[in-house]
Amino acid sequence: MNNVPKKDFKEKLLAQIDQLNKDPNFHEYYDEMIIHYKYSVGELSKFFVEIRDNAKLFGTKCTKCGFGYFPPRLYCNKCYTKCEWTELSGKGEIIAGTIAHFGVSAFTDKVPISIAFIKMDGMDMAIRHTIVMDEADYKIENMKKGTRVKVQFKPKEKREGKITDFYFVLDK
Amino acid sequence: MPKKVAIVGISAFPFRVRHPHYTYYRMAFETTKMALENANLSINDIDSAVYGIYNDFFERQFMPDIIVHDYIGMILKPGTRVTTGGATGGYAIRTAYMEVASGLSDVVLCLGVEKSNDCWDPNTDTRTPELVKAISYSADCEFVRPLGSFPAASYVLPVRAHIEKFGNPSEESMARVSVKNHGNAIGNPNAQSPMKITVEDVLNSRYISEPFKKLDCCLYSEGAAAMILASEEKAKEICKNSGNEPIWITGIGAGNDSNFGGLRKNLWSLTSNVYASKQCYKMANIKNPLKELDVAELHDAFTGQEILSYEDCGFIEHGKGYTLIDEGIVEEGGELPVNLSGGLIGCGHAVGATGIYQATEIVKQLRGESHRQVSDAEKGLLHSVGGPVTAYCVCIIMER
Repeated sequence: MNNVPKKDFKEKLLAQIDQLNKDPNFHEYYDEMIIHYKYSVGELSKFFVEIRDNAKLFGTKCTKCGFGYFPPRLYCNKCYTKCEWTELSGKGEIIAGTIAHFGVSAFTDKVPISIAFIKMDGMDMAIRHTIVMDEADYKIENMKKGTRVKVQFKPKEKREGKITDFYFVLDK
Repeated sequence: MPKKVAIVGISAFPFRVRHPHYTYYRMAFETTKMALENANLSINDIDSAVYGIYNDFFERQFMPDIIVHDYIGMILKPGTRVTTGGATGGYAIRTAYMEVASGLSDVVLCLGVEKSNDCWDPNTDTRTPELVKAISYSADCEFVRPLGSFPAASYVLPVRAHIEKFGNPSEESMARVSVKNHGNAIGNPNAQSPMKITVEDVLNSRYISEPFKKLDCCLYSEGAAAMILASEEKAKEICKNSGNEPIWITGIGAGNDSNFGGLRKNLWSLTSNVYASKQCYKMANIKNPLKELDVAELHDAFTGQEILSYEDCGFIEHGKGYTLIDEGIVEEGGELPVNLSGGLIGCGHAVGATGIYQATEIVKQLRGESHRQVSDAEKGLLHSVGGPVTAYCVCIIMER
């Protein structure tokens, strides 16, 4: 009994659910929690507008210690000093990465996906993003530390000023 | 100086895939009732409550704590909810501890409950994808959440960085953790996934997020757990009546790392764990945790994470964590058995309840009531972790 789920595991589970549904003392109903937004991104507006309109990536740098933030932020959390915008080359490297074969709903049909921490050239902080590859390239060997990647923007008409407007590809 | 704080009552509501005949507040009620019985108290003896409930989407209810507060009969008394991801349990205990240590309350109920598997994905007619979607709202919604990351893909990245720096842990070492924790759960009536499996079974299970495979990952659970904390004077009085030994909280450490893993200096170390564990060892005057601790419950949401935690909790130097599992040191009968309850991998992960549940397992060990009893256990460590790439961490030392 206390063993690895066998092949009939799912059937048993379905039978249990069937049984539950016939139980007069059991009831479940469909429900959802949905809130719609027109979300203001405040001081980050420049970052998203540059992506949408000009296909450019911007990070920020602390004007005191020079630490490079990407994702960008207005204040350095070490110096409490303002950061200034700086345009990035769009190239960087993997710090750590994985190939995921499972996803949250809305992504379940998109697997495998590769997820990695990517440090952009000139920046000190890495961003967690996806690397889109040819199907045969979805291998953990391609996700090694130091692997060079470059940004790729969606076509202009598909860009909405969101983090999903761009992704990364291997810089072979 | 903080007042001394003891644990005088514990209870757990079994961790299962679903409890379809229970609402989360009834689970909370049953668990409270059991904890009160364990301490031989009534709800009127409780001065205040701390609730560990992680995700509003799970319960389909914002402020679920006030519903629980009413249902268990705590009306007109203070109640505080804690929600810090997987570390909700650890932080709830820390908060309850503070209420007693400060003198604000003499007797505090610390209750964790979670009912996660009501989430349902209409596209696949399954529950987990929607459940992890509910969790994904805990990731930064500007930069991280829209990209479709999920806990396994988040927690695997430090393990990948560790593998690239030190060449370990191997998939076999991680599989041994899975075998150990699933095996330890056998005989634990509160565990969801007791299984006698082999390293091969783990290695043959499918990849979830490389190198984590299905059997490297814990499962989400529905369940609850509770502890009753009391001041020294009250604890002595309560324990005289209940016949239980008081279990003292002698060390607490906590620290949160950057929400963005990419901002951390080293990705191969769970730095918040290093910080929190050092703090709790200092408070409890522990110099060599591997030698001085008798038992530990670590947050093993994923096998690789448990191995990194051996290092970050100071059991062994960085890069050598795998030797503790390979050489059996953390197995039952080893020098420092880890997750004798089964951990998250063996028991399941009822997020807000998990840390409290693991703490009750340490209490059982110190009282001599465990299903895998370490003889004469005197000191135990609870390690409670959560948030984006293990950002939150609480470590607690309990002593007989």
